[in-house]
Amino acid sequence: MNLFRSEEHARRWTLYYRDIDDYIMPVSDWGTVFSASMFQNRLETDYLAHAAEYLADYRSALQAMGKSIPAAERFLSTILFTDIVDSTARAAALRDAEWRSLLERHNTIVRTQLEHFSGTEVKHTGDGIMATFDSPARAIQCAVAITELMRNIGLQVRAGIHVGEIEVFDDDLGGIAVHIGARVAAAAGPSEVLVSRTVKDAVIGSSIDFEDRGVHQLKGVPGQWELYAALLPSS
Amino acid sequence: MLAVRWLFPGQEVQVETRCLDCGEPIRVVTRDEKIIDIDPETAVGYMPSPFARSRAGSGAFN
Repeated sequence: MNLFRSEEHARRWTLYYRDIDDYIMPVSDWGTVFSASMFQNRLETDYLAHAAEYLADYRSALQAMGKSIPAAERFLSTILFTDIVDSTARAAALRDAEWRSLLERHNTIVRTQLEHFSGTEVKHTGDGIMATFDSPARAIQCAVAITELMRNIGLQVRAGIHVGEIEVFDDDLGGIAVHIGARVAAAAGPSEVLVSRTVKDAVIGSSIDFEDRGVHQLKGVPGQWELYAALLPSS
Repeated sequence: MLAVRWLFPGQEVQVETRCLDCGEPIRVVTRDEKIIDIDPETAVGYMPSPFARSRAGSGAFN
């Protein structure tokens, strides 16, 4: 949130966006809005997976201030989650400065590959990233490249990919598809790129091969999910 | 404001910053959801979030 001495000052700001000027409020009102449990829940490690559930509380807080937000917009997207394997143990084995340096190299690799494969970083999750792609094939290629390049710096990364509708709200993405993507990643082994059946079906005809990894129950997600390890010709 | 609301529960927190338009100081003293003191009293917050931009058609997270 950006602070100004008055509403007049806010409207004069270079980056003021006139189409959303209803998001100017007295500081005391923001204090009330930020007290919505949705914002408290941001401190939880699984916030992202449940973000959509918290949206109603945020909407209620805004409505109490005379503001409103529409229902979240939904888009079909490919969601990629990556995660450093055994990150806590690795961090404990290194000095803080060494671990920070390693994380910076990790971040550089991830962001370079996201740019190369036209991915969009949504957020850094501490030990990995969440990103979206227009193309599931490019998401797989990106994830495979990331897992292979991480070996060069002595890290192992697991990755999970799912295709589904996502909801855009505030500065996050939400929806069950995001939840599934995170759970698929959690089920992956070291240096493995695991995808849902939905992803496998979406790239039929490509040069990507898959190995069956069986049927899984994903925590908090109804039903049974067929998961596959993605294999590129060079991998 | 968002960060101090939940990182320092029950504590009085003073935020000192400057207006992004004119650079003049702004001071907010808060405890949980309550604003205890604010200078100037006319101060406002503006949050042009990606959600709001997407609503306005700029295509956040394309």
